[in-house]
Amino acid sequence: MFEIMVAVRYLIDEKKQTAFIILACAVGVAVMVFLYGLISGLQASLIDRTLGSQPHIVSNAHKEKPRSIVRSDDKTTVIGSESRGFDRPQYILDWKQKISSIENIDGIVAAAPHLRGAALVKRGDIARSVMMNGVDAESFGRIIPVKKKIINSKIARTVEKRTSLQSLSWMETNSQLLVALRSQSSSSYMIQFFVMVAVALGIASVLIVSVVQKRREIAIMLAFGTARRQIVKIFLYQGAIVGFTGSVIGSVMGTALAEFFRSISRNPDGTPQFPIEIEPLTYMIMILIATLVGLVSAAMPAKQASKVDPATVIH
Amino acid sequence: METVISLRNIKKSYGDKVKTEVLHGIDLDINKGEFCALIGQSGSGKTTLLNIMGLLDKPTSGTIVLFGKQIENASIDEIAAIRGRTIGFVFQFHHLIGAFNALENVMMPMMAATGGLATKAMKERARYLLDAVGMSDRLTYKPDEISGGQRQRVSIARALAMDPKIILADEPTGNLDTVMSNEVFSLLRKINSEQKTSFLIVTHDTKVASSCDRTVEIVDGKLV
Repeated sequence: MFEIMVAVRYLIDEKKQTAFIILACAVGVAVMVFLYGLISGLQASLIDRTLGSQPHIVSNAHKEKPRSIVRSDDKTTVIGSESRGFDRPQYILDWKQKISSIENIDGIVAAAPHLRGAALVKRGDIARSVMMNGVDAESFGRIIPVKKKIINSKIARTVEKRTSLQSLSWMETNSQLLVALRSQSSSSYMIQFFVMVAVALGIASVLIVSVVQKRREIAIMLAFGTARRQIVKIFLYQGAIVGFTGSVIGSVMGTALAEFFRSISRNPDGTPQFPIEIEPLTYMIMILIATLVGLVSAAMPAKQASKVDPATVIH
Repeated sequence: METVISLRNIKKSYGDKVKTEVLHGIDLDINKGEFCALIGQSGSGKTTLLNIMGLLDKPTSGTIVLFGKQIENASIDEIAAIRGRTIGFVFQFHHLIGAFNALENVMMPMMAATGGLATKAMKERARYLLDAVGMSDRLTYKPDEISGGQRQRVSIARALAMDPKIILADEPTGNLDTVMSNEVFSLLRKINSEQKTSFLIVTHDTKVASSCDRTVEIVDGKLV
């Protein structure tokens, strides 16, 4: 407690310096929160839109596999195979049974039959080919509004195993979208990482200056019996306090910034283009990270402080 | 007579390649309740000697015995703890901690020793000490709000905080005018006679030296 008390008093005493590093840390965290809110909101809305119009898992009857004309053996190598001329319609004849077995799988909320086929529409002399989709209105209606719980590929595999139908999750059918989202996320992590590095360097440099300014006071504290590890703690706590306070302020700033950004980027009809979703856990993680960054960036100044030699400094 | 601190054949040299010996084998005993002056010209080694006696610096060779205990082999933090409990310092410049008021400055050594916050007992002791040095009306003043003489009084109160056995004072009146200087000096004498605290006072001032019980002179790293 002695060390925390001294750390706090030192920070309060150096008002301007402290305000600057806390502000630097707050701006850094605000950028992180804003970026996180923006990207996760954007991604959630994209996934939402994608999933709003399609089921999470689509199961089909197996397509007929292409057959080779000649069998491969030791002497012959087959380099060509017969390709199918057209999609032969495949039917799931026992679909009622399959649906009830799919519905029993853990994680499945709803399942519905879907019949799809080609058709011709003719009016007068003009004929057009169309795709016919047949759904069961009641059960299909239960699938499309299901958005919140996103079903993953693992469940698709379970469906496949239990029903021997070829099943693809939405993650597989939209893999390109997901790859794009993932690389967007990783680039945002990179930005966040470098923002934190910049914040750490800021905290470290201000604390180094503070150690130099306080050399005499450190020496006198050592002279009246303060242990070197106590001196180390005083500076480590300063870093952690700056990181914590800065990140709390930064969280508020970042949220406000994100809300502001959302309010200016609206659809033509006035609705916000995307939601900004920041969960309480995210704030807690950001604050934890910033506090740790503060602590780590104080390590060098703290070490420097503990090396002050009272014999040479005091007189 | 009980010996507070005893130095035997203390040598100190600086430099790695070219060694400069500053102290050439010092033997010195300070007894309980003694009020002793250490005089010497600048460069004579008196500050080095004071640092070594105050356990702020280590001798190159020789032994230091504090209350019959040899202390060279103690770790750096153990030495800090021993120093905190047995030795008080008063320096030429006040060396108070700027962020803390007078009362808190006096409590600092006590808080450092326990590692905790100020207790009621600490506050009472700090008040008592500040009252003893005539600073009871300046308890909440910060160092930059009081005069040089007042700061030195607060420093003295702080030096007494842990009830040390010996106080090492380096030119305690060197930075003060004659009136203040006399006040501070008589305060040190008063503490000495009332609490039987030993003093070693480094001074240039022959008047100060002559009013001490004993004068030790150091010339070129040797006591004469």
